Amino acid sequence: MTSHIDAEALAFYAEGLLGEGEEDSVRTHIDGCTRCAATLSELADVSVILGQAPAPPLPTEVADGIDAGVRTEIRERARTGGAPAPGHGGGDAPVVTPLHRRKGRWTPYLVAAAAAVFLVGGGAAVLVGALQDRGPQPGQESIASAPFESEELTEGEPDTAHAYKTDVIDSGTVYTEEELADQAAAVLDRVHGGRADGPGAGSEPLGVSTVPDVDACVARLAASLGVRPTLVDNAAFGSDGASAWVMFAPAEDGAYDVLVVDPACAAGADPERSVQARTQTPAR
Amino acid sequence: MEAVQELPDKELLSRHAQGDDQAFGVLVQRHRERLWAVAIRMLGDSEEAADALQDAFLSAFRAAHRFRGESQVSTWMHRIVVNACHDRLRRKMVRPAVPTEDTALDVLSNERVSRMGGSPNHSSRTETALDVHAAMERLPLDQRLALVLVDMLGYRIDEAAEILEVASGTVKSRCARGRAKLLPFLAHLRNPEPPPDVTSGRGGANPP
Repeated sequence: MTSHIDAEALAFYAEGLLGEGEEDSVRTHIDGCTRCAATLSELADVSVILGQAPAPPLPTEVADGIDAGVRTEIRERARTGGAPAPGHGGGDAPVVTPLHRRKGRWTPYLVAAAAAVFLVGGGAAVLVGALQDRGPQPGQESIASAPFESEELTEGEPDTAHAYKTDVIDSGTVYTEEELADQAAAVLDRVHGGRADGPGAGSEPLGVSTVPDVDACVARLAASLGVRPTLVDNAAFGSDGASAWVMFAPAEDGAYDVLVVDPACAAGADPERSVQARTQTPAR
Repeated sequence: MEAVQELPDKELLSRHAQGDDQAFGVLVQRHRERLWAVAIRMLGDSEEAADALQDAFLSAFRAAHRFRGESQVSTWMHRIVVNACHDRLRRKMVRPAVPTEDTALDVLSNERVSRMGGSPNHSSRTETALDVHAAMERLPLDQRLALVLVDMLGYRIDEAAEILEVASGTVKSRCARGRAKLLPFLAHLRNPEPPPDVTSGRGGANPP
């Protein structure tokens, strides 16, 4: 059995992804092995099967729904004066600047929509709700998750909920790899602040901080790792107390994905490599 | 009106960003079928695909002023749809209700058998779609997205790479890995009768 080539190596061979030496040895093997030659042809069939898989055409009601949504948006735009709404950071600059550092950085719009769903569905509501008290208008989070055609939801300040901005705090924590989960949970409790029953009740609420470029790093992480941090603690990490961004991304059941990120991430370092440690807080 | 219909994508998007009320509708009509095809193949479910497409057009409507013309409008819109689908898939995957691999397979084969009145020998078009989608659901998202674009929809590698914002080599290797993983699950959809000496490794429901 070990003398045969596995399907993945054959698939790489078919795509011309193997190094020269490897490619030669695979070719030699296939020439003398009907089974591997058959697997190679089956791999080609996979592409054919995928290409032939039928899919339903765009249903009329979906097309109509989109048209209705566009009409609603146009009416709303006319009502609010036509100009694209700025992000809730106030003015275009804070939102737009990080968004254009790299092309295709429109992702945050959808990130906002995803965050809104977490809001509706999970324990993340506590944190995000608390954070939004000093930011967007109450009820705004429902805009992003609402279907296009719900006109009532466009009251207030439409669009502002769609700009993505991560909240930054300055907890003063020096995180360590061993205690990361506990430390992260403690900081979350402090963020929740007013909760009388929380373990962190009584400790002073955390102030909001600003860190240039953190949004660029967050967007980069979102694009490469698929994580959507909503909160960043501008803190330190490890025995040398090096500066680090500890990022909190809502996960299931009120838990948070916690990533320790090297601030070099914002300067264009490989986002995956800039993650120095990672853990998850317990579900709430 | 007729003049608007004939404008290039970039001009339409730019007019829309400047407040033109007709331009975006033209873009929608121009691209919705293709973008629907992307969404339905990625998500496999009409309702989810419809929601993703709406979300995506809404985002595009509002983000138009950020478009800087570094890519084609079509590529940009594809990216928005792909990300909308990606977000939905990710949320779906972390949901605890997702069946384990084995139960998913059982459900799949039972459904096929019952729909076929107990004779699972031939696949109708619908069943092929179901089977292919069920198989695709077993792939990591990156591989699934790459295969949807390249194998299912016939995008060139470089087009897929631009949409997914990765290198061409990355698209190729994601496709290769995905195809290798799909192999055991799609074997029953192959038309040619299997040669007698290779039956052991195929047609089964379990990966090697």
